[in-house]
Amino acid sequence: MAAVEPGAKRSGVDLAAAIPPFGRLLRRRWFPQALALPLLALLVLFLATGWWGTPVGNRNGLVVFVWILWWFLLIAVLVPFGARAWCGVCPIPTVGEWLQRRTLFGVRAEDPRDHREGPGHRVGRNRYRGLGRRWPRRLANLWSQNLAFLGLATFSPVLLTSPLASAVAIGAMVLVATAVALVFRQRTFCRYLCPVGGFLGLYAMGSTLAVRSRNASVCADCREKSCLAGSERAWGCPWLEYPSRLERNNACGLCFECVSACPHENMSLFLRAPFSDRRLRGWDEAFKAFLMLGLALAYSVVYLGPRGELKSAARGLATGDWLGFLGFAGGLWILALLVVPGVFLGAARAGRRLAAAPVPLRDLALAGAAALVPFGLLVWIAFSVPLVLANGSYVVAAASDPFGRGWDLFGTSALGWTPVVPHWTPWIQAVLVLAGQAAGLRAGWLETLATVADRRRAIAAFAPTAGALGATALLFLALFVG
Amino acid sequence: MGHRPASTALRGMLAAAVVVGSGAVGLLWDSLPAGTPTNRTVEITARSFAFDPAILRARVGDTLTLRFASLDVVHGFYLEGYDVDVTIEPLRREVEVRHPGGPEVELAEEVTLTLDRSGKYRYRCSKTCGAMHPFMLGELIVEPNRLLPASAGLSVGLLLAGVVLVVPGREEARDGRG
Ligand SMILES: [Cu+2]
Repeated sequence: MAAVEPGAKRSGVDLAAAIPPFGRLLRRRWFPQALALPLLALLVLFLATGWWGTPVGNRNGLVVFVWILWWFLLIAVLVPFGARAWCGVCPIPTVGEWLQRRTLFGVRAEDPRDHREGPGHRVGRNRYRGLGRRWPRRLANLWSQNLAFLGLATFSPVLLTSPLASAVAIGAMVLVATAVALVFRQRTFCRYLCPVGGFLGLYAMGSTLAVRSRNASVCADCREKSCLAGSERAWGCPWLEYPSRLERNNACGLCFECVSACPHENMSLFLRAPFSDRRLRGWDEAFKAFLMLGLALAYSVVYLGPRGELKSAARGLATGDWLGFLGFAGGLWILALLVVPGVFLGAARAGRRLAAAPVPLRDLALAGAAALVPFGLLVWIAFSVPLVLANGSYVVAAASDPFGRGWDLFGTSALGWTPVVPHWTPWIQAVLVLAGQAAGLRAGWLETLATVADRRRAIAAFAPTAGALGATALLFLALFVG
Repeated sequence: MGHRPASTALRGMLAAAVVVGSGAVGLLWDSLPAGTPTNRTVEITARSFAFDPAILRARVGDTLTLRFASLDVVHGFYLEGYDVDVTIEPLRREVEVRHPGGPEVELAEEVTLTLDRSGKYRYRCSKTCGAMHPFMLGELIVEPNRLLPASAGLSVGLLLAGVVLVVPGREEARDGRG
């Protein structure tokens, strides 16, 4: 998306202006952070069910609520329609953020010209506790998150099925997030370390919601820069972004601090066409797209496929089948870090030769990888559909008996396993894969055209990537429908 | 820059026609003459966490007689789209057959199914049998599985439609830019 010219109106529907009560809600400091508190209570409850509840995964509240309900809502609803709205209410960093701010809904602001020393440190006009270190520049990218997510994915067969392992992993995330908040400033953990945050940022690019400035000329004339530096009304952007210049969704956690902070009411929430942000900015982002696609492929084979040997091998870590586990982990890493990147980098290289385009390979490869943002998101949704259609009833049953101890809180614990229209799965999946292919072709083409500039060269440059995307779509169709 | 509106609309229509056409070709691809329906007995063996056969292929109109065995613990056999849910106990020929659409439960040595719906249907374990139980499944493919060639056709059609949408028109070709 091109930068908005000064004075130009942003395209899309300005939701705060269109629905005034919603606009007032967005400017409240407690929104949406207050929602993290009940979620924190639920998180504690689910950690307890994971720790003390039944070891049977599909009867344990933690496994069922997190890996069926939360996962599906996240990937199929929140990300496509709400960008990183989850990050705005996520309870994992709540404790650390409170330790930094020492207030739930208040703001600590002071005049930057005031040189009095206080406890903690100052960022812009806000004062925080903790050491307030800056994250090292070399690590200010997605690579840590790429590795962390691949690591989690490697242990997914245990995480998805063992409540105790899930509790340990999620509990460890809370501890790490809290420790990082004490040493580094603001949402450094969410931005650079959270394994979930990496792919949320990537796929949020396609979301129909976006926080943006309303009018660039207002920002150009602005002296306070409260969205960045904070004010007595709100904290400066916790995500280390410069909100008035946001042109992509990747690192926006939808906390709406900037909407509350702006004295000109120039920050708002926009409803827009899907897949509007396209530009990838580095190899770290391209590899995020590659590895997410590789994992979607591997998961579709292992979890949705009929091969029992693969399922046993994947769980080898828990059963002592070390060779099997090594095969699963090796296959996953090779697919995610070598095969998928190899195919799409090879396609970019071939396109560059075909087009004789005087463009660096990196630029062309990033343009082509833009196709994998919509495609990756939609195949992940396609992968997740049968999990809820087949196993969604576990959520209803576990709500009444989260510890699996024979409780019946809401009278639903006796509900047996009840799949809901599971035979619609291939149809829904085919539609999602094809929609992903179409949106991916469009995104990759527009980025390639913007990179190469010449239309005929762009066609030659994009053709191999389009072919690779088509072949990948056929592969997913064969897995889902065949 | 840009095309004239008329040519843009024309390209759009042509692209849509290409997609629909490719999907239709995909649909026709599979219309082989159906053979005479057959009657088959299939032994379904369940173990943690797989069914044997993992993939079961048949044609619409065929009749399958299913017999069951479990090699380890109690498993289930729930067939998507066919209202059948069987409980399989180890070392026992007889199985408990339930029809999720109705209340009756019966004991039987085999289940007979007339395959009146084509497509892909998974059979899933319906009795919690261990860690990977939610992922214990097999596939019944009832040919003609028209969704596969049709969606593959649409996928190829999307690529062709992309070509229709992006190739430069005559005027653009003359001055060499889009
Ligand atoms: Cu089973």
